[in-house]
Amino acid sequence: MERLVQKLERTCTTVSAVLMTIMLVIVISNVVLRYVFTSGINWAVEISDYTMIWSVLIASVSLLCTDDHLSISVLEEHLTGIPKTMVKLIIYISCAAFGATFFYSSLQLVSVAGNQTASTVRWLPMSYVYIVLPAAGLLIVVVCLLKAIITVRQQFCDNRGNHQ
Amino acid sequence: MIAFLLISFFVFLAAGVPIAFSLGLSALGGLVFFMDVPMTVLAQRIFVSMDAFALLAIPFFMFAGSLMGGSGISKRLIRFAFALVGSIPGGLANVAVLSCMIFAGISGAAVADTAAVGGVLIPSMIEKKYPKAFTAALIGMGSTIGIIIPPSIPMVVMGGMLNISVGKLFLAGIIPGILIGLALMVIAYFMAKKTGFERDDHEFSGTDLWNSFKDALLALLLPIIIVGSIVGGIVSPTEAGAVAVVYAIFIGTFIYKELTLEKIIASLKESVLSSAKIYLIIGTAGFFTWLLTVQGFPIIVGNLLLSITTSPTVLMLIVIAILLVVTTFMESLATMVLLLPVLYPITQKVGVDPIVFGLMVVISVGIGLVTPPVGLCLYVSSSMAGVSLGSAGKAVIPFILSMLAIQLFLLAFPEVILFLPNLLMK
Repeated sequence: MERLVQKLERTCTTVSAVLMTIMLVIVISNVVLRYVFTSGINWAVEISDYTMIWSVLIASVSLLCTDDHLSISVLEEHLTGIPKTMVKLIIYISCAAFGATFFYSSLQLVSVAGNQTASTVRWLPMSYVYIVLPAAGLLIVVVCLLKAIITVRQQFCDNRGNHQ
Repeated sequence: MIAFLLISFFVFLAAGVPIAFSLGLSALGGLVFFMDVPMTVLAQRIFVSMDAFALLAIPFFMFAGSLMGGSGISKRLIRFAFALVGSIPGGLANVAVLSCMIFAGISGAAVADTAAVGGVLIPSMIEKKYPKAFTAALIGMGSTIGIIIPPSIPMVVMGGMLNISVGKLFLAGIIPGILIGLALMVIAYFMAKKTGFERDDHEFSGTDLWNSFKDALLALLLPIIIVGSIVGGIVSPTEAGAVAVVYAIFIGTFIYKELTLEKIIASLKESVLSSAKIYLIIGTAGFFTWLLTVQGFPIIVGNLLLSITTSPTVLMLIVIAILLVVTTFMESLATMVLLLPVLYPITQKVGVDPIVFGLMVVISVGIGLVTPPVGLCLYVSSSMAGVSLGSAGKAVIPFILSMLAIQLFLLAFPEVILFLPNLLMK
């Protein structure tokens, strides 16, 4: 299970990094075209915005895998044993609850988007752009549940070790 | 509902739920229990809050900052700083502050500067018998200049959120950043005299200075390129960030020949993850503040503050006090995203200059980065120095007081802040 979380983390980080590279290329190309060829890419701003949102939402899943989201961990640091496990579980379940609602909400958004298209790229339906939202929500739920199971299992192992 | 939003947010935060999720969960509670709107609002508000071209500067400036270490830029800049001020009392301490000031011109994130400068100078300072707590405090505080001297991620966020010119904010940060750096150097000088870590056996040499300057020249050009291109209207702040990344990769790979593909990929991953932390907070905080606004929270706070005073200076003092208290317990950028939409309109009603407001906010946020328990820069520097956050927290007090003194000076004489923006941008 730990391996699955690690794989998810690596995959999400790689995908996010690739998306950021694409965004960098788009922004730089636009600058070069503007000053060297006196023409620009009219969709550069909109598409790089969307690429960045894709990138950070996927990266936020990686951050959950490594518990690297910004938080105040004073309470957790001062606890040990079962109380610490309980606090961790509350954190994971809270994040999973948010992920699940975000998934539900963004699925509705995707369906509502219907025939809307991006304003500078008429062939790009907004539902395609929004699809990253439910995907991120679903991945957040999966990662949080996996992390919760891992935490409980570790607590059991610790207890067994103490008894022996 | 406002009470529910604020209380539930702090409960989640105290329990250790990540800031972004705490904001999202409490806003979600508000939406479900107190409002009758479609659930799509949740996803829509988060998406809209993140959908701003100006914010793309965040990952770029983070990437440029992260590339400094691997590309050999850090090494050369620190060598130049050492040649310049290494021979005066408290030499390495002054080198640290000057390095932070130069790094500030490349990276827009204070924590990136803490890691870059601290990684090289903290071990050297400890080796030279500088007290660990002093070292952590100095590097932590010095790196907060990273968000005052341009480029600055908080300025980009603020500019995007409040529709203030990022170029003007960048220019406005230069003089205050230099003043704060000089104040830190003066304190380091006197503390060095008082406590005995006076000299680092380094004689000043004009040849060394010239050679290190020549060696660091291309790196020193980077801040000029970034600010110059924005102020000159050649590129937007986001594009300047992208140009800075390409420039850093170019000199690191082809001129200094120290940057490898592996290092670039590692920096890229690091910066995308750091950006995601901020972006998600911006997204969920956007949803949270939307709910607060719908419930009339800005009007309530506005009426309350304006009933206390209508003096711009006193009002700004209250704003600074609020920011200092909140950033002590909450992450700086989250504080900005939450509070600025509430505080900014109030200050505009009494005629505070937007640029002055922006600078006061950034300096307060900078102080918040070194005040425990959530002072990220001090947290990083103290772990690097191997000293407790508590000891570093005590050692940082004189530096905080000096920064506060400069902040008050700037509030009293806003012309200092506005000099460069008025001179170079109309």
